[in-house]
Amino acid sequence: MGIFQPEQGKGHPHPLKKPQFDLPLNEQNLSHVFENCADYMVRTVYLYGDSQRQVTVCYLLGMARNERLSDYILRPLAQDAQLSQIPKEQLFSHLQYGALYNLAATKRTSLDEVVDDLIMGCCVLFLPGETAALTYPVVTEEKRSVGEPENEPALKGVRESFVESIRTNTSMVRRHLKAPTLKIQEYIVGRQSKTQVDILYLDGIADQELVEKIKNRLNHIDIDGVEATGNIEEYLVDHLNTPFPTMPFTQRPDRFCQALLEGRVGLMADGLPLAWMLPGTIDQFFKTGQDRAFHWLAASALNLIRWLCACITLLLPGLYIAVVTFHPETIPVKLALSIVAAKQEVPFSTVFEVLIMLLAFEVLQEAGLRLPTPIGATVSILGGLVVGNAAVDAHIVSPAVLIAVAIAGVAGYTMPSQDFASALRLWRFLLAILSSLAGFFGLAAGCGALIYHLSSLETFGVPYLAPFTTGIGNQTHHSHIIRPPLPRMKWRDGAQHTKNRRNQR
Amino acid sequence: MKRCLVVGMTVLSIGLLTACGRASLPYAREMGDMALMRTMGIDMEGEQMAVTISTGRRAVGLKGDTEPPLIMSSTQSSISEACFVMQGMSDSYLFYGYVDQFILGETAVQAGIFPVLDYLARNVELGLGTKLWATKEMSARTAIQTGGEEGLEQKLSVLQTENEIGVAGLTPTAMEVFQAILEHGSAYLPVLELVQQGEEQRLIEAGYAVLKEDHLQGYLYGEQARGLELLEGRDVSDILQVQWGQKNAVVQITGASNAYAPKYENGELKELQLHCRIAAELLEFESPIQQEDVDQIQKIVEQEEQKRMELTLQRLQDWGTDCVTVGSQVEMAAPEGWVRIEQDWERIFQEIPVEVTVQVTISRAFGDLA
Repeated sequence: MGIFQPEQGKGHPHPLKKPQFDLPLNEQNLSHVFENCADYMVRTVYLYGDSQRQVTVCYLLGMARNERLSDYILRPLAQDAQLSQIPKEQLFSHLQYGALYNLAATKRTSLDEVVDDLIMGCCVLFLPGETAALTYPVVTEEKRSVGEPENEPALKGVRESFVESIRTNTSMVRRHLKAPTLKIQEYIVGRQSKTQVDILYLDGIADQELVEKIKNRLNHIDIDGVEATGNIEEYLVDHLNTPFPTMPFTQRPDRFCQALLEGRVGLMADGLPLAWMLPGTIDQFFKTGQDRAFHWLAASALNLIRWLCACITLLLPGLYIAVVTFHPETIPVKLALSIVAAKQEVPFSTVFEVLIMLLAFEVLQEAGLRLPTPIGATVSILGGLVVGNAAVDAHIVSPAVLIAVAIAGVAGYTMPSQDFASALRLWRFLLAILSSLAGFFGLAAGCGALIYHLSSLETFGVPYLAPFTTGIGNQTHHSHIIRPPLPRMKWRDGAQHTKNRRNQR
Repeated sequence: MKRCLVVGMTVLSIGLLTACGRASLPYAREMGDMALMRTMGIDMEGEQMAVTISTGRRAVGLKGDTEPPLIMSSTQSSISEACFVMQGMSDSYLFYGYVDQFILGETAVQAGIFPVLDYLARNVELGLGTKLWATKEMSARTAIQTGGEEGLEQKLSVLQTENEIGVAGLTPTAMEVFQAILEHGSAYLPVLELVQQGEEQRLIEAGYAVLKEDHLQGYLYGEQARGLELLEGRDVSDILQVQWGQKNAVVQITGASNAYAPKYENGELKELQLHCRIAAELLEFESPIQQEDVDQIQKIVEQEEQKRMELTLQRLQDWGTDCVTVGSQVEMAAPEGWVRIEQDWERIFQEIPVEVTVQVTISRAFGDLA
């Protein structure tokens, strides 16, 4: 139980009305639903020029692709002579089963269904006197082209990235994983946004219990719209009280597919150019898409460096405060003498210096991120070099503090997951404050609290520290910190409870 | 929320009840206000203790400027009181965590060093890793003041480094001295002596002060000091001038190891054989040198070193101070016999005849060995 956990057992303060539009299905009611919508279009067509036989085509401008609508729907309606000759009672079934050349035609009997289809990019065909309507998907494919992943650059590997269109993303996954066991199940999330959210997994490898758990949680999301990752993440995770991310994501289809092969379950949302890989254990946030591309020794060394950098970014400011303020005898003599010399003319206490510099570092980083790239770079140079140097020259901060904070900050940038790096930054402040209260005792207490906190986290039933804990049932037989040669990694990730454990001969 | 509040209040209450605060947690000090003490000295002035401290040369500001060492002295009834008084005299926080060299004046060693060792062991800033030195015919205060603008710490550090690379004598830490006194009832300290060189007074290392319990028993100089280093069998370093016939050579002793062979008769230790193996190098010689010459050098060195060891052993036996842990060696050589003589070792050590044999190996030579 946590302070910010979702409230449970208090019913729905915001009941969902079903059906949303409780009206008979006809063109007038549909027009009423889309009243004051400039993109809502209605077109009446005479079948083969016969004014006695007419149909009404409705669509949303921009959502439907003009060429498809014109060529596959409107042209046959206007030019197919058979449509004017067949009996009126057979016209509906003719239009549904082949008179129009579209890939799909669906018979709809409720206004809700028709409204949903229209929003998804279908056109709707009303026939006079019919209580049902036909919908044809003529969705536009206008989207950003597939580019390189900006956040996960590839030196040696795939150079494509997920885009905002979920169907493009699933097609990329299909191209990487041509297995028929790749299942893609779709859910609609968001009352107003009606966003498509897809669950992807490999049947026979992924833990079915985990799939059901994710489906269940998705079904329980009742929000207005999915416009940010948080709209999915914060409704799916087990713990909201932790700054540590529990849903790792990637922009790279190859990394995503590798996760599916390990037995993880993937999640994608339309409009978000990324995909989640569930469940997320701590080691996932230290892995990159390049780990399997480099030689295992190089990849292992880089992984070790990332773990080391995580410790540095987390502990260095607190360690500096503890050592300089409480335990100076632990510093080598020559370093101590230079610290004393540098501190002599600085008016602030070490604790204040470190905390202020940490804060300044965050401010500079935030300023650099929010501004356009050229100005952001200028701010970084101005803030980092000019102000930093001036502050040291003016004896406002001591150079050792500047170096310690800068090393801690730069070490944080080695994290492949900036969500994880942000969590470390928050804990860095906490550990620095604890160190300023009781030196090594405070730092040790803070580290203990951090380990306790991490140990208490679970993600979809899997311990967050699964690579380092026992009792998860399945052993992986290989280290999660050192990347062994791939021929020796014969077992899928143990924490996932996969059905088929062995991944190679 | 309520649970968090309850847990927080409980932890706070427990913290307050246990008086968790300044007494049990470390307290913050700003390094900018610190004077880092590097050398500390103790003398006895009657019943009073004279404490002298020195910082060594100090860095000032970011430009690499330095200023002379801060030297302070106070005579009070205890070390703590003297340190307290000196703190009052200083405008900086006197920090003793970097005291690497501790000098015991002759008067302090004569009076007994247990109070000093006890202080080093209990003080939160000082530690038993500090190197201990004794002075002869001068006070610790004088020794520290002799350091001048560079500070004595610099000179002693050089001596300590020279010891580590094998060109100076043994410099035990307070821990080693404390341990030796508690286990063997005696210990030795390196001695500093003031010598006049032209117009300048210089501190040099001059043998060892041997302690019985914690009091000064006597000094070992020259040959006897070298003998102690050989008996100790570690960090041996010495240069010997060897002359035979019309030839000269210079030999460096680089290592020594001892093996004791106790001879028991009816449970009584009748004799002790000490076999010392010495490693040496030829530094200078007249080329070409023949194998017979090397044999001759070995023989001379063996005689010289045997004489030194016998001399030192005799002196230590006379004093009844087994500071080179002969007892431990005897115990390791024959544990079953040691059980019977352990209680009476102090007397036996003084009376037991020791037969010393030395074997020198010149393991490396520069130049041609014909």
